[in-house]
Amino acid sequence: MIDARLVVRRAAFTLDLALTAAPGEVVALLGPNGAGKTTALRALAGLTPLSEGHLHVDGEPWHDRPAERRAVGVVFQDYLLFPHLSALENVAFGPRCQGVGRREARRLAAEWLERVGLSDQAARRPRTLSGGQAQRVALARALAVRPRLLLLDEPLSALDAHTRLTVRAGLRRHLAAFDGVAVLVTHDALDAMALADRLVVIENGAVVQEGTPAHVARHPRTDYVARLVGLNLYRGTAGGHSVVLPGDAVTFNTAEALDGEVFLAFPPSAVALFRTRPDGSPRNLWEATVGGIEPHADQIRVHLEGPVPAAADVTPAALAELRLAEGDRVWAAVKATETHAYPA
Amino acid sequence: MLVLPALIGLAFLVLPLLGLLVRAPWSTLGTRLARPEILDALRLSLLSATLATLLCLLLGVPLAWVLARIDFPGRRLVRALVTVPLVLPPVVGGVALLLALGRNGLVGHWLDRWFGLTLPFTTAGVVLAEAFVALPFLVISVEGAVRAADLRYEDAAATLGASRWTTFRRVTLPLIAPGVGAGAVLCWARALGEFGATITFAGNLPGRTQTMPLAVYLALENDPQAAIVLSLVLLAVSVVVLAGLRGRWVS
Amino acid sequence: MPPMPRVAALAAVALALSGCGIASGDERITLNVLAASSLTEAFEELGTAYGAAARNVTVRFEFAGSQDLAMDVEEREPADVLATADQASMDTVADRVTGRRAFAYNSMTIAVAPGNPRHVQGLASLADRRLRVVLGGPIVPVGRYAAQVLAKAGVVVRPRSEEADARTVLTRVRTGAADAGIVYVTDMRSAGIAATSVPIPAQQNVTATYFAAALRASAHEEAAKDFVAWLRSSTATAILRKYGFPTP
Repeated sequence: MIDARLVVRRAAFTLDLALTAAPGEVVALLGPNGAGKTTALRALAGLTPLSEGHLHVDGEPWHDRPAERRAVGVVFQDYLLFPHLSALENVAFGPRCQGVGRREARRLAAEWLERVGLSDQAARRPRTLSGGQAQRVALARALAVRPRLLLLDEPLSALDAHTRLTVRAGLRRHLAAFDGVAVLVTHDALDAMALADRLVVIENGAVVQEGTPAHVARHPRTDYVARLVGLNLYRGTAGGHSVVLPGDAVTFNTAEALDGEVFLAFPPSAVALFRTRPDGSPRNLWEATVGGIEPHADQIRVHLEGPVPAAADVTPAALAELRLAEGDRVWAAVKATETHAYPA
Repeated sequence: MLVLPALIGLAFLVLPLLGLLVRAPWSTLGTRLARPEILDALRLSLLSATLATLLCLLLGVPLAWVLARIDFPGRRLVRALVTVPLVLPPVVGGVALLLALGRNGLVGHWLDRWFGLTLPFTTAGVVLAEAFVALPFLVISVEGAVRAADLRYEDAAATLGASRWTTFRRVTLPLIAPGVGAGAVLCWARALGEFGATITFAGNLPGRTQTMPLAVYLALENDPQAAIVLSLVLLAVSVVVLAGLRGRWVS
Repeated sequence: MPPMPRVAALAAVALALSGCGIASGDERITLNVLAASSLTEAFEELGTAYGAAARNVTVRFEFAGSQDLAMDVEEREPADVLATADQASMDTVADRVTGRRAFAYNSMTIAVAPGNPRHVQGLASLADRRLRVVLGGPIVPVGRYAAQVLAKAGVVVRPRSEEADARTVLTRVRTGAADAGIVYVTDMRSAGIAATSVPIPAQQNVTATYFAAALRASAHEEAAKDFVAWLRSSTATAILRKYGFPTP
């Protein structure tokens, strides 16, 4: 298990991150570019010194150990397989550095390559491997040192969409089999959700949200997270089953009954658009300006501007019927059952 | 636009060589080549240039690494000092070596007194003189390679448990190998042709300090035909070696 | 011949540009004299003296090793007079010169560090392997004479280096790189207090004879012959003796 507080101060940036994880747990550090994810990873690996804080792994202090004396395995973003060594030699490198004999190290390496399904590629040089194969060699190399802390920096970002799917599944299996703590850095919500037991969302060097993937997906607390999980997110004041957005712009009826400061979220598919004001309840209804229209999967995403900025997904047929163009005024409505409110 | 000056440049380089070939005493070439003093000078040239290159590698690679990687006050000055032998006339380099390592030199004095070691008039002196003028070629080439090498590979090695020395030996060095190879080839070529510093510092004695360029110079005084033959041998050997190595290292 | 990196080549260009060529009547003549490097100081003074004696003649010198000079005559230099430090060098160009005559002598001596700290007694001392001895190469006059001197004395010396000319041999001794070297007696004048001379007895020594001759290819053959003849004049011999050269 690990218990860390990582503080790294730079001229224009400070990372201050508390992190704990149990053995076997996979933690994803999720955040936009420049949030400090990679800095945190490098600090865990011992490649970037801590300005302050501590790092204990299985009760041992690691914070004053250099990288080569930490039982850590790292899968780097573009893998950084040594170009002058074969796949097998890359994997054997770590055991050799730990004092394992040449022959034994090669045997271990061969075992690891077999485990990632690359026995037949052992003699290949990294530049002749495909992206997915290189990723697996990098994983084998990191695991071959028997790390207690496994760090993965954007492990899938260098892969094309198709390879990504299969490699992700493989990675998931290996992470499940790994008994130490794994920390994964990514800006891809899907990777994080699929691979991690727990998400830690970082923005501007600080944790903004933490929890299981399912919980975070349902309860985004920042615009960044909301965008990642594909929800419209607002902050408002609740009273019973209604939530009032700031400036009394709109009042939403909600399924949950709450009081005080709350977040309100709903998916773009829950938004219905009308050319003219629909009849009925004034709740969950607001007027907006069309800011942009773009294809989104098999739907059309309409960006709404105004007091309640939102994304709305409509079918191409609905769009044709509405004859929407940028700058048009529309009415937007959301069903109460599709909104989700939770305490801020 | 560029082809004409390129051709003129090529002609400028090739014409003197052509002169050498045209005036070579082809009919007596075989008997001249078989003379033991030529073989002695050739053997000594190849040996001393190779030893000088090894010495340059031993000292120059760490020096280049320090210059490329470690920020210390006066680094620019040190870098400038490293290139001094490039601009120094080799004869002046030889005089400077005498003043430093000669029998009455700054350091040479103590070498002689403590160890009975004197460098002038020895093959070791030839190697030192050649290394002195050739070292900058190696350092400049290797420093460029170290600067261009991706530091993150060294991070990767550290996370795999490699000490700094292991990292340097097993990761950095192989990564910069092309630069080291290119530098070594340049260094060797410069050492092979070295004349001024060698004759000034090490003197001239057949079999011991008389390398090919020295033999060429002395033959020129006495037997110009022999000088041409010696030059051709030096030329042929260097072309063969450089063509072989450059193809492999410099691409 | 391939071009050689020497001063002589540059001097040849300078001469060509200065336009020494057809001489007739009272036109000024420039004589180009190729002389052995051991004559440097003496000939510079001789040149000034000759300028006073023969008013329409200017003498220009080119100093180098005698072997070099002989080669210059064969290969490229448009010169008028050749003065060598030995007969052998002159012999190699015998068919290109005229009016050859000896005009000065020289002999050999052992140059050692000031005060002779290694106690060199004579040629026999040079056989000691612990002594660092430097000689001229076997193909340059100073080396050839040294070999003759050693042969006469029956001494075998293994030199540490075989230098290209007499001045370099002396420099090795002056800088302490070598303990001893065999050089011309006249060279010791230029060494001053930086080196001490250990004389070689007459019966072991050799006499180096300096020859001068006019070159057949010269455009001023008469003026060249006049200069060669003048080297035996009382004015010239006085200057040569002043610089340590015995004269005929």
